[in-house]
Amino acid sequence: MSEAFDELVHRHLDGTLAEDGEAALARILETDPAAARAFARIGLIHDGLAQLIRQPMAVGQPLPSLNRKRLLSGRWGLAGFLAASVAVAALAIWWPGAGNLKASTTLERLIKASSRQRDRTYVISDLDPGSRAGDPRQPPIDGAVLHVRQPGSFVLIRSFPDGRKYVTGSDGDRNWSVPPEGKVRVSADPLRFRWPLPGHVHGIPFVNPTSDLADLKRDYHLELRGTGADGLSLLRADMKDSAGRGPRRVDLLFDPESGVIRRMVFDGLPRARGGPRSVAVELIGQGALQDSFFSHEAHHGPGRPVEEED
Amino acid sequence: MNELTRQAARLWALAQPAVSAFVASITRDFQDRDDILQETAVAVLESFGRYDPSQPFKAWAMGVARNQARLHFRRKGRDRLVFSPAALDALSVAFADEDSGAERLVHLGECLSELDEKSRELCRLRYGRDMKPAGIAGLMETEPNTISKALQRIRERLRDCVAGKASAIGVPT
Repeated sequence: MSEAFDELVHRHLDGTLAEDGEAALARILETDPAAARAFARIGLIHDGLAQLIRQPMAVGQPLPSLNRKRLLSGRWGLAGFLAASVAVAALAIWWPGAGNLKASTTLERLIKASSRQRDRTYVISDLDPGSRAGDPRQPPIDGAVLHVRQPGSFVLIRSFPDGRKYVTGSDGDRNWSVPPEGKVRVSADPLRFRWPLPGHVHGIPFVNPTSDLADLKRDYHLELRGTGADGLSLLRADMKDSAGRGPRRVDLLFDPESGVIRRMVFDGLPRARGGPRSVAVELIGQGALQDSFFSHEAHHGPGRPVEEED
Repeated sequence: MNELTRQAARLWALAQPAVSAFVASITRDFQDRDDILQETAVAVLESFGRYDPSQPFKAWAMGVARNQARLHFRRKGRDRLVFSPAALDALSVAFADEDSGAERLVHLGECLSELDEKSRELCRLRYGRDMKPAGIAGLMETEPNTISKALQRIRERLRDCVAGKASAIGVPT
């Protein structure tokens, strides 16, 4: 096929093709079976990459996140069970060696690796489309950058669509909030400005990974799911007590060599203040940050009024 | 478990990768794909009694998926299927005809691991974090078009790599 057609296909799949381009692509597909076949070959790569990378558990899974109640309620309930069994068999192929390692031992190793990392930088992705139309006075958590220093220091930078920044953080002692305009507020309350962090009060390992990961060992069922095609191993934690608070499920994707957690996915988060039910937190840097970076002065001009709340 | 049930589950497991790719390609949203695929799986199993075994199962499942996609977007109050019915017909035939066996995903994983680190990182951002080229460009401080082109080259390289591995073991591509 022509380069121009190939470009239409790729831009369509990435959601960047304009309306007239979509119309042109549709016309070609309607009239040229070879073009449709070329589209399908790329479409299979596109979807395969998503299955391999986006959510390792989806690999080879015939019935992704199937509603168990509905599946088992009809006369095809057993068919669902069989299909799910096929999924388990497929996963066994895709997750070699999963059962050979102890999940709790692995978590201890992750905790040790975490304690060796002083500074980390993450990007947060909102995986819950329903949460994105929140309070317009607050920037979305999707795309926010989170810098963390153990123990207890953090800087969370959220951006409005127009590019203005809303920065909150803590230097470990004083917690602060720097909105795009108006007063900078400072408080000694450790939770005062943490609320924008998804699941901020429910022990998810953003800010104090060492202690929060230890909480996972106590409150969650742990299961080591093996290593995916992207080279990351998956440790899955499902909450023991459904009445408890905190994310229902935590997936930790880590480098099996170093034990460094590269990606965390929190699902079933309590929706305090309309926050997302599901977020992914991806490690993008481990470089050392200056001490002053965790104070509010580093994030606003010298003329801003500062209000001490206590 | 009766034979019909066993047959339905077996056929669905074989057809699912192609149906998934078809749905992902027409919705361009992986969350929508997951939702529609779930509904399609249930619908396939519930309506398997109406399937004519003399016809290809994958093509029938594609039809079920198209209906579920239409219902899905109607429930959400928006129409996200940009293609005409004729284009969807052509695509469902094409996806059903393509080899989408389990080996293909194995080959794709191998080909992915053979990419350079920068390309793998782009894939992680695009697929792992579901970021669009503009978002990736912002993160990497470059132009969205540069990212779009890079993603295109990566997918084409992976397509050729998968085809090469398939032909090496005698699978027609």
